[in-house]
Amino acid sequence: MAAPMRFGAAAVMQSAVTRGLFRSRLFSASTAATPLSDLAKQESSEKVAPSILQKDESTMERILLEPLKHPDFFEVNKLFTQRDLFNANVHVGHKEGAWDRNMYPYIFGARLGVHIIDLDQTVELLNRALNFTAHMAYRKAIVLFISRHRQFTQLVEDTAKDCGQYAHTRYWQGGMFTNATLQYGEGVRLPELVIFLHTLNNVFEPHVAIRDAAKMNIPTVGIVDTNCNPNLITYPIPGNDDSSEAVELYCRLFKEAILKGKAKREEIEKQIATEREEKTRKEGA
Amino acid sequence: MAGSRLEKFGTIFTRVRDLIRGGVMKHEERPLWYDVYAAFPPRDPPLAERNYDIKPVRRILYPEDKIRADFYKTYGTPRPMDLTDLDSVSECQKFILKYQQLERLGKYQEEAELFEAAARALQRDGVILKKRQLKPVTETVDEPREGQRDPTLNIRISDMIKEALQKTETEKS
Repeated sequence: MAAPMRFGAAAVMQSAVTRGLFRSRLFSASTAATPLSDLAKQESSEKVAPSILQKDESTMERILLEPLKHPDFFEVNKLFTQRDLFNANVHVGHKEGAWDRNMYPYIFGARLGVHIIDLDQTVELLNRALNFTAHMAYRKAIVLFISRHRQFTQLVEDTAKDCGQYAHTRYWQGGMFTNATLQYGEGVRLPELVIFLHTLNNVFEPHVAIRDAAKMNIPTVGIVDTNCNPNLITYPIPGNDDSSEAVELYCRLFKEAILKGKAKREEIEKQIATEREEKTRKEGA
Repeated sequence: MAGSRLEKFGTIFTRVRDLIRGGVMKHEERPLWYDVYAAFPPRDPPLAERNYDIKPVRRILYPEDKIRADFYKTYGTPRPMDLTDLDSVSECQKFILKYQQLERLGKYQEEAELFEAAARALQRDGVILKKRQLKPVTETVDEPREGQRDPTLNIRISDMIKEALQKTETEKS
């Protein structure tokens, strides 16, 4: 527990069991433990919008089920073009000998010994992944960015900070997910989405958190290069994970998708609050 | 809180769905992502083990690659390329354009003629092309020839040690 918190810029799963636990009727019964950095924010928001607790079934349905009916509710496909991916070298894979055979369906071909990733598939899968991310952010999920590529430690942590989420770019202790109740205490809330900017760790092996997230039934989104194993990742995105233009592009896209999701949620809740005010005014009058 | 940690079996969705079906997890207790996954599933279910009929990956080659190979063999890389500028056109690319233009005109048929004509056309446009100086390939490895071996190499340390031992014995006696 000491290792991830030492560099404390971006908050990691810190456990603070709150009194007066907030339980939502529709979501999992694991209690929401607010991280220390967010306690103040949450308390203030609970004072500002107590109507959250008073929402009835139909309102919750309207909030949660409406966005699922649109194929691209948050318009994530407008965040990038295939040409952007090409200019950021997303299509460039590793040398032929270094590939993982599970990447076979995503590879377009080999150009002079270097695998080239099929950008048509990347566009489709990136759209799916960003759409999922935006929907999760809309539902107020905790998102954890993971990357063990030291070159991008600062970038990933800043991205997480900018969208109000969490990042873990240090050594991954064994039981962070699977032994969380012992390591962090009872009532800890695990992330509901894990985004891997780099699937491999420092010794070019799959990051332990991929398998652990699958074990804990946490969906994952991950950038998989030609030397990665995409199988256990829920929404894999085949693409280059080594060049800085590519990683900066991904960070920007994830950040914008999450911010869009959060903004839409705020907008809809404000809308409902104003509607409720008008109703009470009419009833009072 | 019910869970299933069998990551090698099925997907997260199938496991949670089956927990609900089996009555172990209540529908109201379903995870946050369940509805989103049901509405927008991934293109391929994230199974731990997947089998692919792996055929050889296609090699990406273009007809211009022949021209490129000849260009670089003759001229090498004329100037360092600035890869950050996406709109810059390399000398090789200009050469290929000229080559293809002349090919379409139909004046030349032979590849060698086309090559020379394209080079001339490019030089007329002001691009400087210098032919690469290739080192002549004569002998591969320098092997020592008889009579030219360095005499100091003939000294053997075992002989030196023998001589030193004999000397000490004669000194003793």
